[in-house]
Amino acid sequence: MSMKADDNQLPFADVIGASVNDMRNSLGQVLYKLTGISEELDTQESKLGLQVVEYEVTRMQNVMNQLHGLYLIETDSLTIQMQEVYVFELIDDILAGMNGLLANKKVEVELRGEDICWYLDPYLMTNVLNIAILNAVRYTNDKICITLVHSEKGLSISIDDNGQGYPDVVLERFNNVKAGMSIEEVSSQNIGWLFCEKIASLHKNQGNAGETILDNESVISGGRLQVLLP
Amino acid sequence: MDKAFFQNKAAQESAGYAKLKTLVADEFENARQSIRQMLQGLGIVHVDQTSSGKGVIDACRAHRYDVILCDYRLVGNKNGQQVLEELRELKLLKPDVVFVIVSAETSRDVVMGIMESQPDEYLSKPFTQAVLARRLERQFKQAKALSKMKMLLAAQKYTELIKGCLAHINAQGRYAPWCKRTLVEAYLATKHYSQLETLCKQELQDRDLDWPMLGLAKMHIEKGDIDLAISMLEKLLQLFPQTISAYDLLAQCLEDSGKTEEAQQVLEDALRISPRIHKRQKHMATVSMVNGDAQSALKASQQTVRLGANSIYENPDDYIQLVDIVAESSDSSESKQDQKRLLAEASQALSTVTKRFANNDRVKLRKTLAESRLMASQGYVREAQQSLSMAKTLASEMDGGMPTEFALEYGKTLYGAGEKEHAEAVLSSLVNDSTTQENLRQQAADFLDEPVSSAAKAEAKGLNKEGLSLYANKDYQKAVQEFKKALALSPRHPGLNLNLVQGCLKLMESEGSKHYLITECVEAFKRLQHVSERHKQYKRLVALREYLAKNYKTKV
Repeated sequence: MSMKADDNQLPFADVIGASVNDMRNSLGQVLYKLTGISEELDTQESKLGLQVVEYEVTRMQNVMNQLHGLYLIETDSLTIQMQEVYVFELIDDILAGMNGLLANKKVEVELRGEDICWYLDPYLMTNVLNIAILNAVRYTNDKICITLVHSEKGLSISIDDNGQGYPDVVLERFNNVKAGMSIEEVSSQNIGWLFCEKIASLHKNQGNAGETILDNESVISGGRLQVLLP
Repeated sequence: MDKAFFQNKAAQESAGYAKLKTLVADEFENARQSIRQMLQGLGIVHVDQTSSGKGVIDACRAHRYDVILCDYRLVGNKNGQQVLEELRELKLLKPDVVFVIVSAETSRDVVMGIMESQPDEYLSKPFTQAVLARRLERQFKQAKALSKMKMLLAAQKYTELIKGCLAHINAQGRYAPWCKRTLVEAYLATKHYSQLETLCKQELQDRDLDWPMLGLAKMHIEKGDIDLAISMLEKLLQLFPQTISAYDLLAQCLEDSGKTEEAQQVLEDALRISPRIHKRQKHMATVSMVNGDAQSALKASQQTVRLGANSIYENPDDYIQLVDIVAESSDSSESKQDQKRLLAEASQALSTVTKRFANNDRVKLRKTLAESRLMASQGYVREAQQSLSMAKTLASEMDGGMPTEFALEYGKTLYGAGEKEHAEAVLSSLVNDSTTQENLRQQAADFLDEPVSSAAKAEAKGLNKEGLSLYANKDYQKAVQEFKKALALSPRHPGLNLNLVQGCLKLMESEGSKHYLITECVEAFKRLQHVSERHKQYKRLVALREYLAKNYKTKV
């Protein structure tokens, strides 16, 4: 190669930024068309097919957000804008975005606790809760329970499902991710958890940092992902 | 939270929504269509569309919209952030408009820029109709709840505003966070500092938060406690390193207390997070020029011009500043090629400013003066003189001749074109006129002290520092040599000349009176005839002159 390496290098930050921008625009159109189609469908069979499409589109959106978010964290260029936000408003928006999916999958969502105003980054936390709730949609039987609790340690947001609960091997993998151990089996699920943990830990207060906990302590007997923000 | 629930809600709202006037702006037809249909699905009848920033501004001249959904990316050369800033500046928005910036952007500089322009809502793509409906509903609810207080705020009726905010907070209203932040503003405006302090400290007891710390810092500034403000802002930035307004405030505090190098460092940090702000880039250009950092000044000045173009913030000053920075940094750029490129850029700036502000005689005058300075900096004295005489003709055609606010630029231009005595007269009268603005006076005085390029200034500064450390080590012989080297680069610098005098005097303390050292001192004082009573170094100058007269029988 006679050219200097510098001349040849792609400005990757820009390439990724432009590509994600494009994908977001596309997904916007896909989601919009899906809502239209959903209203026209009447057979049970076609609705079942649509439900798969909706689930996968939402998943794609989450994967893109977590991939891009982790890239921004790694390159120290993540935007963090803390605001005082009513947490149920965030959750309400997320559920509204999954409206069709939840209806078609016949998953009931219950909100428990008082609405609490908390100091957090609403855009990043929306991504985290989107991942957590979609994860619950995947594992639940037919119900998801989201609980807000304000304790001395801060705010706890629990997303509980009534599925089978996580097998030990999955819980172990989660704890390895959290402990910062190298991810042996890089899966989208692991990356999602890593993203959630990193975003939670960016939320700090009086020397404490946020965290995520995965266990089978669901109040409706199943799995549970808990996000703790100090 | 199922569909039926949502549709009921939408139906309830639609009666009110039917009357709303809305505008959708997006560069893509399909995106405009989908948002329009979402709005229609909510019962909104009036939905206008446009693809360009100019289209938004024209539409806002014709209609008073209730809701504007504007994408960041638009056709033409204005983005959504610039459109919002312009609409505000031109007062084309209803006070209760809901302005939503829609965006699929991900890069921090863009997102931070959008946030800093403070739209009512930032909606990131992709979103569904249900999400849009919720955001709008919340905005309307908030607008309704706060409308009276927002009116009081706009009218600066603080006493009533404070009452309203306190009542809302005491009733544990939903918008208590907004009320608390507004209270800080109101307390600042009415100088209720103890109330402000109580409120902020109470909030900080519960948790780390940015706005109470920012409020306390602003209070310290108002009270003149700059050091307290600086330490508060530094603490805030340690906890929340992306509180962008704290950087700007901190840089200003540091600059005001003379710490211009630290101010530049802080602005650099701020620009790393949010570079797309015209005001910030301009501040950076000014501060780094003060520091003699031509490279940084040039970069920031280029960005200032770039961000100003197509925006409401465009100012002839931006272009003139760029030309001056190129002129002052002409001997520091690395290669001939770089220099050529910079000159071309400066010429471009001169022709752009002429075009952009055609029919403006004052801009034409400033431009002609700047042209002369640029020519002079390149050694083209004849061209510099030509431009200068053209400027003089322009000024003579104006009412009252050369406008006083251009005296600084005029003086610098005269100096560059070789009319040094005239320059000195113009600048001295600026320095000695008690009605001169403080920063203008300072700049005129600085120029009289050091009418040399920024590279020469920087080099002289380094040599001076070297000399001072030798002086501190009592090596006066070598110190005097360093001061002389520095003076060869910047002969009129008061501090430097007086350092030389002091060095010579110290040397004579041990070695006795020496004719050549006395001559050095006399020459130094001769170079300081421009130092007037107002100058920071004046007292020191007088003291040293008297010492010389008394001990060595030398009258200067």
